[in-house]
Amino acid sequence: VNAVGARPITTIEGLEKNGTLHPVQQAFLDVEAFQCAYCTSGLIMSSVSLLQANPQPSPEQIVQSLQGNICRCGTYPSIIEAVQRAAANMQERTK
Amino acid sequence: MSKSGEQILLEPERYEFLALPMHRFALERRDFFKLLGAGIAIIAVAKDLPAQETAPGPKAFHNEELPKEIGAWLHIAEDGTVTGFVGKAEMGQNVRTSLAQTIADELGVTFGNVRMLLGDTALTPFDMGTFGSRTTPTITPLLRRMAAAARQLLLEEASKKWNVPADRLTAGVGKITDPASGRSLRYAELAREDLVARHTAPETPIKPASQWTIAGKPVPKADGRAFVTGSHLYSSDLRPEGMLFG
Repeated sequence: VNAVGARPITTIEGLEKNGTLHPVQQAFLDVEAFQCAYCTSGLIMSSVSLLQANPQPSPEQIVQSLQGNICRCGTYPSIIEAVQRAAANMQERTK
Repeated sequence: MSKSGEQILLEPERYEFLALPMHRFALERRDFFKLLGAGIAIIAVAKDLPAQETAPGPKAFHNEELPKEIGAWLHIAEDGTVTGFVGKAEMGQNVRTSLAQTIADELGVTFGNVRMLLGDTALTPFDMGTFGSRTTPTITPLLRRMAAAARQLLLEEASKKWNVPADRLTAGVGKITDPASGRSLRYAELAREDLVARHTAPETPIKPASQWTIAGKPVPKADGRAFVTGSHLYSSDLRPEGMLFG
């Protein structure tokens, strides 16, 4: 907590803007990249952070970046698909 | 774990011998509808549960006292919303989706018309717990029977209104239809009386799997949006009034 200091923090509740889901949220929902979804909030936030730093990550980079988020239901292939879909949609938007 | 090498008494593989959920139902009839809203309620009476299904039915009882031993209930509101009340908890196994599919399929309404109230023991029957993969084999057939009883009750209500034998009417897509005359009544319109029926009727026909149109088919996860917005409440998020923290 000390390391965070006074920096702004975004949580899963703050991603949605005026009733519109963040592209990463939308992609997780569209792909249904979750079963019990207990880990989903963390995975979405890590994915948002990844895409800010790297808008077009390779599957390997996605795996590496989400290494700290564990999904006991084992939905990893869908998660990678969702992150790639979100990346594509965000790319599309900025064109 | 057992102390000093004692035998562990749990036999996980014997869960199938555990009794079905039961509930001492304390609500009076009037309070029951105050809680649920007006409409039609189908209740599974414990003594009617599988193994002892001998009572005829579904029997609508208008002003009698409610039975006390209840396993689950189903409610059709005046606006057509169908709610299943079950003591089991949703904890990622997606029973909120699969149980709603079962009700929608058997009752003949759309999946989106059914909501499940799960695990809130202030509103649902008592349940000893959600474990051992028991929800699907115990609750699914129970809800299917209850939905079939609800459908039968709706057919009988329409039959009374039109003075046409119930077996000449059809139920589906949220309404009862009289194929001979083409007229129909929506479930919502038929649910405007506070009717209670017991789930009984082993003879109430339920749809064979070959006729399922919603159950057993992929549907979008119920409440999917709640999971990607952090608004879904897990057991560890619950803070009921008076809860003591260890």
